[in-house]
Amino acid sequence: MEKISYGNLSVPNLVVICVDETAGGDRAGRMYHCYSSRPQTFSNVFELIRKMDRFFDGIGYPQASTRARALQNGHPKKQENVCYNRRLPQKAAEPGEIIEYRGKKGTFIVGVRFRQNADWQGQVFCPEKQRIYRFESTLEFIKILSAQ
Amino acid sequence: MDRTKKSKGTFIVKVVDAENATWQGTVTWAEKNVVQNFRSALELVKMLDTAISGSSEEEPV
Repeated sequence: MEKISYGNLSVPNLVVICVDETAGGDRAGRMYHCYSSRPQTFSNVFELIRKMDRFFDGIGYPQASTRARALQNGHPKKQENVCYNRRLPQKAAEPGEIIEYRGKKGTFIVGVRFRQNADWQGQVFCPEKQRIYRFESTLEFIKILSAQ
Repeated sequence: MDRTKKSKGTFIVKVVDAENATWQGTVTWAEKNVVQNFRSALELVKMLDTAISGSSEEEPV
């Protein structure tokens, strides 16, 4: 943990997580990124992680270092390659705008820098606490979200 | 737990290692007798989600 201001806002995959409810030990709220003017809602942490991962696949950043495995019978279907040299979608909001959103129970500004070891590595900034937390995996990311 | 709901799937998870701050192991889909290795907790969650939903379609960004 360390005390600093906002991290790097220029990354294309900047995600702002606004937690509005913490009922039942889980987290529910809204997720903002620069490629949509409307928030994506989530009702639990796993839904949030799935939506974030699809967002990263959608913009091709950060590039996944492993190809996803699936549980399936017989011969695996031919997997589609995620194209990483395509253009990014049109921005719908600026990073300076989305970092102003706040959750009722907490806010997390997330920058996933790498997707190595079939997982995420990056950092989370909590504006309310003015602190940055680094994580090496989604398990650590969940712990950061759950500890607030 | 609501036992009246229709069962979606049974998975047997064996965690054999915990490197890179995450889990590695094997998951077995009991109903279909399919076994797959996972390299992280994230991969495990995605496998279970795809198996239950029966689709790996991506949502538009």
